[in-house]
Amino acid sequence: MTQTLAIFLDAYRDLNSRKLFWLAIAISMLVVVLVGSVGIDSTGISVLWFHVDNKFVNTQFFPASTFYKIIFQNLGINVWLTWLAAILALISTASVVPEMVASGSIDMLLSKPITRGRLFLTRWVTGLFFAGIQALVFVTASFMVIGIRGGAWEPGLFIAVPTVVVFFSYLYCFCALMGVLTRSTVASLLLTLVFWLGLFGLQEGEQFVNRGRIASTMECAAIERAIETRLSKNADADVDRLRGELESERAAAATWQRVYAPLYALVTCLPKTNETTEWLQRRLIASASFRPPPDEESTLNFFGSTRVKRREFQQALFDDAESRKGVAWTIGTSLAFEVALLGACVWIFRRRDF
Amino acid sequence: MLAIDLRDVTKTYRGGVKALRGVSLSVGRGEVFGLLGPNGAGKSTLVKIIMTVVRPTTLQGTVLGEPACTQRVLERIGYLPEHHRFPAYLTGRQVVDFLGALAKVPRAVRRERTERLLELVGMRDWGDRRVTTYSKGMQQRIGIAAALVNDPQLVVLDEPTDGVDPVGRREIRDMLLRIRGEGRTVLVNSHLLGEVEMVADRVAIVNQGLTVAQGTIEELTRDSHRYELDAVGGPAAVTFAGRECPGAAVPDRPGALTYVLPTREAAEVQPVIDALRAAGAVVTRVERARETLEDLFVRSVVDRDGRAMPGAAREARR
Repeated sequence: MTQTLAIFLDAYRDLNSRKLFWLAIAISMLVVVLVGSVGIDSTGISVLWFHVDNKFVNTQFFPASTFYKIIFQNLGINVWLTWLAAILALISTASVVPEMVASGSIDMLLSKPITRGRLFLTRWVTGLFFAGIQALVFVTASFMVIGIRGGAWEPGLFIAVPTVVVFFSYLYCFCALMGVLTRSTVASLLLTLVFWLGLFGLQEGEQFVNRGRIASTMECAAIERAIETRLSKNADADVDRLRGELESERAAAATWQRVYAPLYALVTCLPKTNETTEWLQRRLIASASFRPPPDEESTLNFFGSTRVKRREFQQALFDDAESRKGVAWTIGTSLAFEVALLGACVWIFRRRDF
Repeated sequence: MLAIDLRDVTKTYRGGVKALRGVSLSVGRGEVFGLLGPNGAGKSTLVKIIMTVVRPTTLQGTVLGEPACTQRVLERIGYLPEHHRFPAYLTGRQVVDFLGALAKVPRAVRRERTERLLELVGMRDWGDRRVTTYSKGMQQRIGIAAALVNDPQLVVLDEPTDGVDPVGRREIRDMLLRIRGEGRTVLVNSHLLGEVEMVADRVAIVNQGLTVAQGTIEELTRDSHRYELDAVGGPAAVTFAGRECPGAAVPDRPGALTYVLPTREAAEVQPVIDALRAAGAVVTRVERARETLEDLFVRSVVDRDGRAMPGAAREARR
């Protein structure tokens, strides 16, 4: 325990000495203060002393708490915590492993009565500190803003803290592996960013194909209903045309499914950064009433689809994600990948001569 | 009982570079032991193997009575690595405290011991400054304090006087003697032969991954005892113990020759002096001499043609 506490205290001192750490905290606070300075009333929104009338953004359209929650969700989570703050955290912590394994530094650590595996993993966990502290500060400040300005106290918000840490850990385990392999801060940081972008692209692709697959399936169901309606009313004038459309749509659905299956399998094996963010949003919707106002009854118009309503489609996407992309799939398989990568790190670290 | 008793230590790095090819090392308890060798000889690899930083290819033996290269024995060893790099954000006091904590020293003990050690190495007044503000000598002192914070029975110092000025080197030498006075064993890896000669009870010379000499300096230079005679107007060679000893010209002294007689007994030299006088030579100097550690070192690592034998080249490759 003495050793673990010493490594954590050292990590704190390291963080404390980095200007970037305090800069990131300051930016987090600034972002929240800016959000808090935006007000909403029955006629529109205000920023500090300036008021702007708005027909759609006012408390008649949705309550003040929803307004702040939407900002928290779209700006706080989607932009700040899972992109900008994560990049700042990576920049700040990418050097932890390379500096640890640097000549002159590693000699002192390895000559102490601590196993290499424990030393590495403890150092790695301290690297998560940055993301954890940053997320905690931001979420706490957001909690206060939503409570004070929006009138809704939502402790469910705090689920964002461990989720953001888990999200960051996906990237940080890769960064640690690159640090062990290259012993270079710059190389490990750049390779991690490339890995992240690769993951992002892959997940975006999987989600796009999944949307196509769901939309196509819903289109098939809509056409089938249309055929049934016509048949029940003995108005079978268009039935042959609809059956033709159905055949065509079923073929499209099968194609979507064929493309989707290997993509889904690949995404399952890799850390799911986008999916984790979306899982967090679904949890916020479930636990902290984050659901945005329903869309109009517009149609989806996805690849020419005119039968599927946008709201129904969103609901179907939500239900699909809830049923297939739960915590076990989203976070569980990502953590499995992380464990495998950390295992590789420890294996290399234990066997290497310094 | 030996503090370090290692036999047949070999290390082959990836790529087939043989850094150690069967080194044996015996370090007695309570002595200062000097580990010598040219660059690339394998000294640092051997030290790192003892400290578990490098994994040996083969190894037999014990350190402080425990199987070598185990975690448990590290609790009783203090280590100052060569080219050590302390975290830039720590003060000297925090470095000693942090490394003490990693060595499992309880907090209260650490606190008291850190103060005492900072006093010992003369860094008490500088303990609260960041290590980045320290000179090389100050960093070495903090490193020595950190090496002692776990109250070790064995202290391994890799180039402790590297980059330190003469005054600092002398202080470090005194510190080593004080550490030995406390009953600890000190293993010093250094290429500064004069430094080692002044403090080491025993030395080992490692070259090309092998131990080429090991023992006290007296033992290792025993066969090198000799008398040197300078004489003007003497013959080209004198007879000693039945063999010819040729005279060598003395630089800047025309007509003077130096004869080297391989003996440590003064009585054995007298007949030679008598013979020289009888031959009309004037004896200008009679001096008892023996190899210095530097002579021994050079003799051990230089081949017959006077070329430095290449080391294992591992350090250079890294």
